[in-house]
Amino acid sequence: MKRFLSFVHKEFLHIFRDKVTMLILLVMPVVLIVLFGFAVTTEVKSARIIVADRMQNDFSHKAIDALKANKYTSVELVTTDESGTIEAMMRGKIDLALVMDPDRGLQILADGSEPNQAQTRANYVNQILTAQQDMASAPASPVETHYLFNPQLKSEYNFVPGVIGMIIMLICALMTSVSIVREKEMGTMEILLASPLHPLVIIVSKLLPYFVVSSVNLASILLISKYILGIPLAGSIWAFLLISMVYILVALSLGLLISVAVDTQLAAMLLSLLLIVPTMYLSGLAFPLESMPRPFEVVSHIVPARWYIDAARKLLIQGVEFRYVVEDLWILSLQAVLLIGISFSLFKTRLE
Amino acid sequence: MTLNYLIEKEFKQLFRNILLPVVFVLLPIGLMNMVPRLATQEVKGLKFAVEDKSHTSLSRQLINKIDASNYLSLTCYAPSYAEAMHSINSGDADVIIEIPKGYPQESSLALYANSTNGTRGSMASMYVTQIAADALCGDSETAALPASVRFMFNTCLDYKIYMIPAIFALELMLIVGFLPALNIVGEKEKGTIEQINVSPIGKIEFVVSKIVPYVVVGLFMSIESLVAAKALYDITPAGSILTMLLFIAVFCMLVSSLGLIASNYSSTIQQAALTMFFFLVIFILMSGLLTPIDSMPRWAQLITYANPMRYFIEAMRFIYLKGSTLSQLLPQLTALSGYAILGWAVAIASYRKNS
Amino acid sequence: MSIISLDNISKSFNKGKTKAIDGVTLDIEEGEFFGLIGPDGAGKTTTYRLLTTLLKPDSGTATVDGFDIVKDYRQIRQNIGYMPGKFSLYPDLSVEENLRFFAKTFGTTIEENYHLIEDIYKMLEPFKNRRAGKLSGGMKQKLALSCALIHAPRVLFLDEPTTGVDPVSRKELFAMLKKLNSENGITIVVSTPYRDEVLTCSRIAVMSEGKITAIGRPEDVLEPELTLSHEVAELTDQYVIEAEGLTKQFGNFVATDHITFKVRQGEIFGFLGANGAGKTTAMRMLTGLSQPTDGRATVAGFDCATQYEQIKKNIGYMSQKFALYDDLTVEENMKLYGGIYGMTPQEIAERTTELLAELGAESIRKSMVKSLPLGWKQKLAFGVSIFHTPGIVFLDEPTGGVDTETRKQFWELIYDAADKGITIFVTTHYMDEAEYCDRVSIMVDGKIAALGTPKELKEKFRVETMYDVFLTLARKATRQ
Repeated sequence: MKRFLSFVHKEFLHIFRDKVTMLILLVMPVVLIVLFGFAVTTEVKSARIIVADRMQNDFSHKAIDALKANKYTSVELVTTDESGTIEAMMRGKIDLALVMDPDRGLQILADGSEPNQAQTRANYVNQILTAQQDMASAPASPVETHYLFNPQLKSEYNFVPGVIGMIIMLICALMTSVSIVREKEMGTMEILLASPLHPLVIIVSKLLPYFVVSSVNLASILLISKYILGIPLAGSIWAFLLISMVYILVALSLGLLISVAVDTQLAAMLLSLLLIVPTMYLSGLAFPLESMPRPFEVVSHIVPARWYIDAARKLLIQGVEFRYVVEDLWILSLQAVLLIGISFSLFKTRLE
Repeated sequence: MTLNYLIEKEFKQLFRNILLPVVFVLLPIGLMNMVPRLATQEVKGLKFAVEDKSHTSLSRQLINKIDASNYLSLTCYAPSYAEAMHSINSGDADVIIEIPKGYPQESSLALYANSTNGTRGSMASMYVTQIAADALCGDSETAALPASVRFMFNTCLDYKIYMIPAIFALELMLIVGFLPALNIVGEKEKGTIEQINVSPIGKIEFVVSKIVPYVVVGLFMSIESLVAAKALYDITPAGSILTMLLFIAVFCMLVSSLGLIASNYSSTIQQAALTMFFFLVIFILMSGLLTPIDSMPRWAQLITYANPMRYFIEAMRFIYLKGSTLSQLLPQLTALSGYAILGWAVAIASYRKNS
Repeated sequence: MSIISLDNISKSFNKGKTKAIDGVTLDIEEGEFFGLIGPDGAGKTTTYRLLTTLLKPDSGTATVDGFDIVKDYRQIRQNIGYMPGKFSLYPDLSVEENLRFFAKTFGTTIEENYHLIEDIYKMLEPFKNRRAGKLSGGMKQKLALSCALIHAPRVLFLDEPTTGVDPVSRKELFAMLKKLNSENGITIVVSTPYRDEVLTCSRIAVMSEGKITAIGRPEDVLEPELTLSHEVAELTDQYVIEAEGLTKQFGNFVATDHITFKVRQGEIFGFLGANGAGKTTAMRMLTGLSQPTDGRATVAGFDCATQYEQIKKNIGYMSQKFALYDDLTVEENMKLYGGIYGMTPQEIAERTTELLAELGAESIRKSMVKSLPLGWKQKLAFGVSIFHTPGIVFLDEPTGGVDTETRKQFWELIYDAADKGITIFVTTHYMDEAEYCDRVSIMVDGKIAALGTPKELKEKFRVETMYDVFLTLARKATRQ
């Protein structure tokens, strides 16, 4: 036990001595969560419009006024001729053109580059136009929609839990992936191996200090999410903390496994940076699992972030009871145990 | 003259490494295979639960109709709202459709959409509304929208074609930005840079020799990606490939200078990699690669003007999708070149042979 | 029963391609002070690693303190101390933190076995809060020894503990080892390239190419000392290096303190000093890597504060740390540096052939540098530093860690170069090498304490060898 504590103490010293790295490790999560939370959204906030009005009647004037007044749409130019539309789109100056022609009626030309944005913008304009049409009796909508959990359809509700999952995975794996390989490169591993230290002591003592640092990160992320980004934290905070701890353990063990398996710090850094790919694309973070091609969806089952993000959304946004995240929890626990087990079995007690 | 020898050395070292040449060949193919298929905001595979309180033939008909649509599939008949809510909480359903007693005469459908993901929620609502409206109107004409919509450039509204241009930015950032930086710090750690520093090599020569091989590799990978996009998805740029290559070349200059600055200020590989990584993530987030810049709040949009990657991704998308010409992209080119020159000035000024 | 016993042990690497140890049989008795001697690549390090249970033998058996090195490795690890050849402490931990960590690792405390390390550690104690990475070479080794000793091991394995250590610290280290051996009965197995240290061993085994070629008392086994003779060339009065009050200050610390000296063209100038005396700093200023904070110096007629780029065209430099590209071949390294110094392809081709012949390295022309043994690497690094036939070449500890035979060959190369008129500016910790120099300067605490020909200095201090001259001066040092 004393050996273990002394090893843990040593690992803490390493962390505190490297001020630059320490700073990056603690500041990066904060910057990322703020950027993601505020800046990364898919909400459609604006549509820049050219209006080609050849009707020149009451309706067309009313429509233009309505478009000008709406906060989502901005009319860049009113003209009678839509020939400059394509050129303006190619320069990225406008998103949409509304052509009002007495013979052909109303037509919207939308820049379809980004499909969701294009559809949504076209819908906005259509809605505004509908309101201007003299519809004597617009039929009541046959459906009454309730948006659960996120009535304002804020996109940070969707992204923030995912971003938490990604930040934790990256920072944790980056930290531990160099921890053992650095001792190999420095030559200190040679002395440690020639001492009676048990490999398990080495492995666990490498995990513990980084676990503490990660918990600090988790706390800062959570505080920012709640008080700056306004994430509801609808479910049990304890359940969330529990599953986050398990996930941190998984991420740290993944880094450790890399560290045990490779021989140079460079390789360790590159491998742990590569983890960004599955964590970003195969976890449902930004791109829904349901939209993935089947083979990728199958692979996503082994991505720890998939389970964590699922649980985080349920607990933070939906506020479900604990029983709904039990599956996520035990899969993550299993992954943690497996990863530590593999690291332990790969850990060489000799130099070859 | 001297430069030749240095560049020759870098190439030899590059190709003697076992891993790197493999990465150069496989990375573009891998990214091209994965990213467009995965990075899609399309809403697919919506699942719904039904709580049918009316039990009429009409309600069953409606359920079948929704289930038969391309967008939604039925996963659960729930006897009660609590039960239906359970299916949402456990992820078995995205929407609950509640058909009240007396539907459709006395009441309207109630739709409860899991809107954790707002896009999914609103799309689900849109689809169900349309289908229900169709079902009610029966044979009669559906309420037409006032304006017909035509989508330009990406006429089929295919997400892939939007993501492909962004892949170029990703791989160039990694290969041309990251690798030379790690390479130089590696020489610092090994001590070989000492021998170079006492030789008469000029700053510029040394730095250029580090960059050139990676720029060549970057161009190679870009061409490989172009071919892969054609082979995999039959997607080719609408605009001029030459214009594209020009942008790629300027972007290479830019990211390599960023890598050099990072390497000049770090003494270990770990520091260099962490710093680069930190900025890389911010550049990606603030570039419009994943999510549109137009959706960002005003202050965040202002920040993106300081992000050189923004101009590159914008230009690549414009060329690929809209076929914009060089003259139409002059603002982007000017900004990108400006940042490249600035980057190189800082990189050369901060490289010290003498302390 | 012997405390260490190897029975027909073999070990190879690269799937049997490289035989590191080939059928070694050896017994070492309890309480011996045993030397393991041999050139680089002879198999010494592999032997240490086998005995410290870091490697498994391919065949044969071995025991340490009665325990089998394969089966009972845990018991062995508890009872031995090991100091690897490479500095292997945590540079970001302080002196005391390193020591405390290793004590706890073995389940003991610093206090419990303090008597063992007292002599060594009391020299480190004033710096116990300094980071290990910031210690001088000699101090690092003393700390490493303390760490290897703190759990009172029965056997101590020391792989070249005095390499890179200045003569004064070296002498202190070995005196402590002898004391541990005689007073505490710790069995010591040590390797060293220094002849005077080998002679203090009770018994030595000479290894070569993985085999033991001789075992016995050092005076019986050791071959007679190699001597080199060199006719001092007629020196002109033309000075190629002139330093006047050259100073470098880092904050409050004056690393090099107003040094003044001149070096003649074609001279072999030995630039000596203890670890941390300021040699490397001075050399970095002369080669244009570092700006002086005060004073001035010219090299080849150029001012080293302002015209350092011109200086670089006229000098060669071999750094202390091996600085050739190990993923390029011998020939490619030469070609690269030829190109860097602006030689034409034809000049490069001719010079490569010529230099390879001088080095006797034709056979390794196309070998990858990383596959070469240390001795070769050092000769090659020297070759590259004079590839462009500079007027002056700076060598920073060129023979550190190199075996005696290679050192001799190395000095022959230096003499050849000097005969061709190249001025040699060299630092070294080998005092026999100091005798080979035309003139030497000895730095103490950042200042030049003595300057003259070896003969003059020995007469002045009334001693027999340069070693004694050095000890007399360096003992007065106050800083570490």
